[in-house]
Order: sequence, then C-alpha cells, then structure tokens
Amino acid sequence: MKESVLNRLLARVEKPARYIGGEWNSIVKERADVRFALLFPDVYEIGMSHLGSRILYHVLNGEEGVACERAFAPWPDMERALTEENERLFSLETKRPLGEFDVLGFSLLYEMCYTNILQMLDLSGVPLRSAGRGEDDPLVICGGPCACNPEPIAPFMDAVLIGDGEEMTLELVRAVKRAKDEGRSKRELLKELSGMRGVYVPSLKTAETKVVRRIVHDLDKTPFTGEPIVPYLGIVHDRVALEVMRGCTRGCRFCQAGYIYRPVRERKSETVMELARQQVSCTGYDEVSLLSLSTGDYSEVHKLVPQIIREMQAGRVSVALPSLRVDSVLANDLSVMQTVRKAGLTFAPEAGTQRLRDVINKNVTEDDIMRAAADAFEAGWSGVKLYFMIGLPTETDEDVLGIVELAKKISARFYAMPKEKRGRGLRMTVSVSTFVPKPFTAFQWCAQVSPDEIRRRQELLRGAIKGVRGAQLKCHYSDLSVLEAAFSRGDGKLADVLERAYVLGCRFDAWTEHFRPDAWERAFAENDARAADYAERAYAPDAPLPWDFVDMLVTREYLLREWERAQRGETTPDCREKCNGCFGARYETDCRIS
Amino acid sequence: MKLIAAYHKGRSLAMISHLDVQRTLQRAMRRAGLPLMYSNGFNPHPLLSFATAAATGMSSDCEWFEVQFSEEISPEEFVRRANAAMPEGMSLSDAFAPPEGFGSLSAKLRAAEYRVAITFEKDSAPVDENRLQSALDEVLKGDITIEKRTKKGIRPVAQRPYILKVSVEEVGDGFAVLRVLGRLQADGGLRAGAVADALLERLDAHGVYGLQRTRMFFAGDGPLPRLPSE
Repeated sequence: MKESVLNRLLARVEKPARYIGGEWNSIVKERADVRFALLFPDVYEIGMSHLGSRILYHVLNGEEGVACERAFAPWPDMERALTEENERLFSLETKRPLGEFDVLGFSLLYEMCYTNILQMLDLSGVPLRSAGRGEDDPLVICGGPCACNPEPIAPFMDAVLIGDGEEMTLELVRAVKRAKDEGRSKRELLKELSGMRGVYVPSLKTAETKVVRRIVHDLDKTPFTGEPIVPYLGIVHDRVALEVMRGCTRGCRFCQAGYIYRPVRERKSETVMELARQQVSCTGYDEVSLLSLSTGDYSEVHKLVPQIIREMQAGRVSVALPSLRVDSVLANDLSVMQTVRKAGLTFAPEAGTQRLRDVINKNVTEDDIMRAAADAFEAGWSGVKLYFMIGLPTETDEDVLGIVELAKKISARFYAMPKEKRGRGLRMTVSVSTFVPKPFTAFQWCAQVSPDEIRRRQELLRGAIKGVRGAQLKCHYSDLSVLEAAFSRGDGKLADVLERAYVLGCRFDAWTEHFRPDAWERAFAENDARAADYAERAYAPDAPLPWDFVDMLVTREYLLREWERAQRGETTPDCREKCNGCFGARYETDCRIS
Repeated sequence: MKLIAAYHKGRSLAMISHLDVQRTLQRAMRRAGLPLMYSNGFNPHPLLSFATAAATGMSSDCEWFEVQFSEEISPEEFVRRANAAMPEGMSLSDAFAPPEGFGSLSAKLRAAEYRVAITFEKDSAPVDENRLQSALDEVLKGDITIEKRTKKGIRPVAQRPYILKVSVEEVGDGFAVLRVLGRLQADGGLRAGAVADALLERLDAHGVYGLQRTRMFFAGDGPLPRLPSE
C-alpha cells in the first residue's frame, strides 16, 4: 500500500496507531519464500495482549525464509474507510494486502469474535468459504482454544490446528513452502496436512476422521516470545508476560482450559528468571506478570515468587500475579509483595455454597477463602475482586444467595479490623458471570439456564447485596452468553447462521456497543434455528456430539465419570495427589505427573 | 541531575499520541539502561517533562523535554545510548545540562514554527502561486476561530492573535507547502492546522495536509533557540 493511501486512511480513524506497525522489536522482512499473516479477530489492543500469538510470531519469524506479519480486526471506522476508499485490509509490517499472503492464520480465543474472521477475510477480498477459494487464494487456517469444536467455523477454514501451536505451525509452513517449491496443488497440500497430528482439514472429513490434539512435551525447551514487540498504543496487558506453566491439575468441572491444556507442563524457575531478565532488558517494560491457569499450584512458586519480586524490584520492575488461587499458602510472599505495588487481589470461589463448589469440583472451602482474605487485609490490601458464576448445573436460590452471604462475611472480616489498621475503605467487587457449557468439560452435556431465569437470579443478587458494606455487584450480560453457548457447542449449521449474521452487519459481538441481538435473531430465524435451542439443549450421555471426531486426549469416559460424580456432589482430588486416569490408556505416556 | 534534549518524531510516527510518545521514551531509556530518576508514590514513574505535547497527527523535529537522572551522565552519552534503543522514526539530539535555576521548559516556551504540506484533491480547481497568496492574504485579514474542547465544554478560540507569520514555501502540481510561525505558551497558542483549514475553505478546495513542527522558540538565555525578533 502506498504511503499516501495509508495516510488518507489513517486520517479517517479514531486510533490510527492501531494500524501503523513499526513498533520496537517488530520484524520486517522484505524478502521471503512464505508469507504468513497472523490474524487476530479483534482490535489491536486485545490481540497484542494475546501471548499465544506472540509466541507464534517469534517461532515463525525464526524460520529461515518465512515472514510472519500481523493484522487485527479493523474497528468499524477503519472498515468504513477501507470500503469507501476501495482498499484491502493490510498487514502492519509491510502494509501488504492480506490476499497476497500464502497463509492467513486466525487465533480463536472466544466464540464471540467469529464474525470478525469473516469481516477480515471479506475486507481482504478472500472468498469466505474454503470451497469458494482457488489456487491463488491464501491458505486460511485457525487455531486456539475454540478450535476444539471446529464445526461452526469449519466451512471457512482450509485447515484447523488443534492443540499447542509451536511445532505444528512450523511444520505447516514447511509443508506450504515445499508445496510451493514443487508446484503442488492446494488439494495435495491439504492431503499432506491432514496427515499431521493436530491438523483437521474440513474438506477431507469423512465418517472415519479423527483429529488428535497436538502437544509440546517439554515446555522448558519450547521457544517463548523471543524479543517481544513493544506497542506504542497502550494495550490491555501492557507488560512482559511469562508463562510459567501450561495446563492445570485441579479439574474444575466447568473449566474448558483445565481439561484441554492437560497435562501440566512447567518451566523451571531458573528458566522463568532468565526469561524475565532477557525480556525486561529488550523491551524496557516496568512490569512482568506470571501467567498460568493456576500460578499457586506451580511447583516452584515459593522459590520463584520471592526471588522474582526481589530481583525485579531492584530494576524498578513490578510483578503481577494473576490466577493465584485462594488456597495457595502465599501469606509470606504477600508480605514481600506489599513493598511493590498494591494491585487488587482476586479470588475466584465461582460458587456461593460448599455444596455447589463440590458439584463443580472447585476444591476450595469457606475457611480457605476467609483465611486468604484475612491474610490480604492484614497485609494492607483493601481492594478485593470476587468472581462467581450463576446458572451452574444443580444451582438453587440458596446457592445464588450464598454468593451474598460470602461477600457479607468477607466485608465483616475487613471491618472487624481496628480502624487504623485497615486504612482506606473496603472496595469489594463481586463479579458474576453466566455459566456457559463448553465442549470437553464434565458439563458438556448440560443445558444452559434460560436468559429469563438468569435475569431473575441476577435480580435476586441485586436485592440481597444491598447493605453489604463496601460491596459492588457486577452482573454480566446474559443475551451474549446464550450466543456463546450456542457457538461453543454448535454444529456445522451455525456456519450458515454466522455468515448470515455477518452479512446483516454483526461485528465485534463481544463489545456491548456493537452487539446486535436483533440481527443475530434474524440470522438464526432465516436458517430455521434458534440460539436457545443450542444453548439450552441437554445431551444424553450416549448422544453423538458435534465435536466427537476431535480427540483432546481427555477421554469421554473420564468426563462422563466426572459428570456423574458432580451430580452426586462428590469431589475429585487434584491429579497431583492421585491420577484420575483422564487420558485413559491410549495417551497415558503423554502425562508425566502420574 | 537534569538534562534537556529534543526528540524527533518522524512522519511514520505522526499518528501516535503524546501519551504513546511518553511511554516510548521511557521504555527506550530503560532499555538503554540509563540511570533514570523516579517519582515517589504509588506508581513510581521516570521524571520526564515536556515543553509541550506533540499532537496526534503531527511529526516534529524539535520536541524539547527534560529528564532527571540519579547519576551523572554526559549529554553526549545520553543521546548516544538512548538513540541506540529508539524505535525507527524516533531519535534525540541537542542535549545539554541546564544551569541551576534554569526554569521549566513549558514556562519558557514562546513560539513554534510549522511546515504545513497541503495535498489538494483531484476534483479541486488548480491552485497557482498567485491564487494561493491572495487567498492567504484574505485569510490573514479576517478572524480564524477554532473550537476547543475544554472541561467546561466546547468553546470558540480566536487563532488570529497567535499567528506571527505565514509564508508560501512551495506550490506545485496539486500541492502547496506553507511555513507558519505562531505563538505557543503554556496557556495557549496557535494550532497550525487552523491556518490550513481556513485556507482550504477560502480556496473552496478539498485536501488533506500534514503537519510538522520544525522549531520551537523559548524566552531567556541559554542554548535553547530564541525568536530572532525577541
């Protein structure tokens, strides 16, 4: 794209820095054998906060002859500018139209960004459906957690990558390069790709197709983000992110990430420290955060946390610790942290009563929560965030009101401290989202509670929380949860609905100001379907599921066992204590914990 | 110790905001391992202060700022090390150590010079030097008012009193370049874009323009540039 054209487009949008590229550590390759566009179907500030994309950017650009460039979903002002100026969506690095790339690879982090995939393809002049694309069109692929149920987006994809992307994506670009060199057709290439573990090629699907999730075995030896890009624009997670561990051993029954990232794999604390030093020095960031699904369970947490806080502090770098569970014994570390920044503390009890916490296997007791809150308050914290879900299987009004009871006790604990010790007033946010059943969880067979009933339960909460000192209730939008549920457990028919919704103008559905329930309703109706029928559908345990052909390593038998235990209110121990056989016999050796 | 220097914001970075610039400078200086001084308090940040903000959309050759260090460092070493860690399109120059009691840059700021490059759209009638000059003369005879967003809402601000000098530097096929000198102080100053807007309106033409701040002028003695007339 010519500079004058770019400037004309930039002059028309609210945040032009989203589209300029040129950031510190971004990689521009003028010559390449294979050009791979790493696409994120949401705005720059969100997409640049995604660690997985940053890892792939580094891995792909590290490959000789491969250029990996980025593009993000253009905000509606830029979409309008591109359409009116008759220009194509372009990459940030070389400002090339996306249609000129060999591969377009989308990251799928949540279902409600699917319309943006179609928007990005459309603005690139690439036919939306795989069947409509020719030899000269780019190979369109996707990966990420949502890929575990690929059917709703499968017709738009030439290939879907299921599982850890570090090795699989490299193998794919190598295959693309070979096919280019040898002049082989796309169909031949796809045939080769379909033979790789983790790769699903929708156009070659048969009744026998089984796609087995790909994993990297040794996280410590797996490449990380190299020298990460430092954006000009403030992004959502504007700091060095260090992945200490992948996977989780807890087995919370609603949590898809807890099942689909098994087995747990850790980086050694020395490796994490080394990465911290290297990344801080090559980015200039003043904050690092330790990422994992449950950092409190990281086996070297008590070694790493004090060490990294102390060392980073010396260089005026603060340390953020998201995903710390309430039952982690981190009181000592907390007192060290106090000297750094007093960011808010986050607890996720998920359910208000012990009975329901047992159903979801959130093995946290009220005592654990109260102790953690007390530790935090004594250490000087006054901001607390509590995360809950409503609409969980077997939930009653007593469970819903239990959320308020717990908030009340935490508030009382805070105000029981002498005035001079507690400093500022309590700021307790009680955040309540709506349960969405997800594939490959113990609750994959469950129906979602209807929006009307969710609203009634939210009202119940609103009424009860009044008078709890220092508490602020935040309930999440329920209509969006219905769509999320429909797409997360959706089938191939939803691809038609999705395309229609896109044509009717749906974009950025996760952004309240852009969400258009009326257009979605119409898109469903025109396809003789209802979102509620998908969301509120309860599957019989022996019924076929749209994602049955995907093997995420965790077996159906195990998930069913968990679902039955849930209904009996029986908990399952953390698999670090005892192997629960979640992989069955077939992939036993893929897990090294047992 | 304090150092004063100018940063340059190239055309490719015209679209980043002043806040983005601040972050970029801080991170570059951290990468360079410079001994920055930090503020006390809840969220310590490096002590940087700017003569003024460079608006989003404007490039610049002369954004003066001041930075505090916890250790002695020579102006030359500061510039060398910082520039090695700057992203493309951003660089420092002209660093010096101000004498004791030098005062703040924003208080000393008096005026700035801009290069305004206008590109006329194809559907506009051709603009030659005479037509441009007479339109400019007309514009400068009248009032130019812009709408400024303040805490109290949108209010009109007269721009004419801030204009010191406007000259036509170049006129070509479909483009024109102006050189604009205007007052600029902590309490207000010229928005160079207002001159271009008024000129386009007077010419009844459509076009886009690029702004570049070319020089800043300050009051008082010392190495900072001063207006020739003052």
